[in-house]
Amino acid sequence: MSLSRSTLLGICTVAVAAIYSAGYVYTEPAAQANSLNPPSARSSTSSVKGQTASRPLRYRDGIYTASGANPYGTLSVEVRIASGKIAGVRITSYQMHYPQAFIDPVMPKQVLQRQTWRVYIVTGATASSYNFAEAVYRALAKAKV
Amino acid sequence: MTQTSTGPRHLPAWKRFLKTPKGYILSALVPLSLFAGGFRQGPVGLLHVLVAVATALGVDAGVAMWLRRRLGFSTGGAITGLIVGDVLSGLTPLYLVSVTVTVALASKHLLKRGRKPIFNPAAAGLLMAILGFGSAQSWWAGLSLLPLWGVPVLILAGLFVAIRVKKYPQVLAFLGTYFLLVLIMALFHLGLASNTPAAALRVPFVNSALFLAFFMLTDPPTSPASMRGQIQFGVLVAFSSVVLFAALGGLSYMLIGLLTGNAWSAGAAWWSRARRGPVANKGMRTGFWGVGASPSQEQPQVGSS
Repeated sequence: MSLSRSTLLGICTVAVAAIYSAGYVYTEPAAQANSLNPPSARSSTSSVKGQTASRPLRYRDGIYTASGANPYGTLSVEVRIASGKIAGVRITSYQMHYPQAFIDPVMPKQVLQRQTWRVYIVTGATASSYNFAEAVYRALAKAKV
Repeated sequence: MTQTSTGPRHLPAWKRFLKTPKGYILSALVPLSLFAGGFRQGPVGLLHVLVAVATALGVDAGVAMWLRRRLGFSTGGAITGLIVGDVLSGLTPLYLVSVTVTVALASKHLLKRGRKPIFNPAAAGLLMAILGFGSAQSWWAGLSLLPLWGVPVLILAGLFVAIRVKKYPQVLAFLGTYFLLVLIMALFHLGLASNTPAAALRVPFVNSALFLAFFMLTDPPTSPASMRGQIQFGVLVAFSSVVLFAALGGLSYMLIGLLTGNAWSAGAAWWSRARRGPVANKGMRTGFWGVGASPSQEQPQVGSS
């Protein structure tokens, strides 16, 4: 009885592992799509902690929107350019697991002050910070002269 | 609560304690927390654990004095504090850690069926922290902040507990149902933008599912003992969790799923005893699923985590 029970549990363990593996493999394209961030955005955001503001770039005036996504969720921002500078940043859509209050208004304010998407990450809300930086990066890329 | 030792009498008390369900859970959770504490956000997490455990011991001591019971080290309270500290994010203020633990223990002492809590105390406290305070939960001791290699470490620690406390069938039922339903979600393109099946199967979300399965679902007083009951319980918790995950998302879906299972388990046990009547129940051991449970399937009923 003990052996048969152990055998049954062993078979069930393999079955659960197989179900998980099937789901993992099947969802791999979706996971890859969610993590398609610009490499520059990913690596630079964390590496510039402590640096001073980068030199101001020239942007076309207007309002530009973009999104950032990773396995933790997505968020969208609206960047307003006036007189060639970043005049306003607003998070227009927030679908992350962690509350928006963790990065808003801290990170939009940083973008305004530093005039760049390269801002300090918020400790403990790293994924949301990356998404925000990525979204601003993409919006500014659209605005570049 | 009564603590049942399963070890031989000639062993030292601490060795006998390590062979109880509480001992097994502490033997796995403490090293796991210390291990996770050595990485990013770990020091803050360990501070949370200390605050949570201290609060838990203080609350349980206060309750013991209030009820004029003998004062002692509340291992059940310590486990509750440990789990709460293990789950709450490093962003959580310390006062909220204490509040969460206090609510968790209040649920343990107030919402009872006989001498056993109805709900998993840690889950009840953590759910309140989300709904009442919007607190973040990182499940950092589930190695959710580490790369994929952390998952096997978590599984090994979890298997130790699940097998030792005789709750492995329940864990398998939960994880099997959970992963199967998430796969079905993926096949039919269900889910929210922020709560995709792909995310559920990957770090960090899969870590939280494993942590809950191994260390919270297996709490002896709030879950069934028999094989049949364990399977029903695991399936129900997983089903509730995935439905909430697909419909609402957020961080609380598994906690609500677990509490739903706890309520169902307590209700079924109550119904089972009520059908037997007062004569049949006289002198019977308190236990879930007593009808289908053979003596060999009964576990020592110890304090809730």
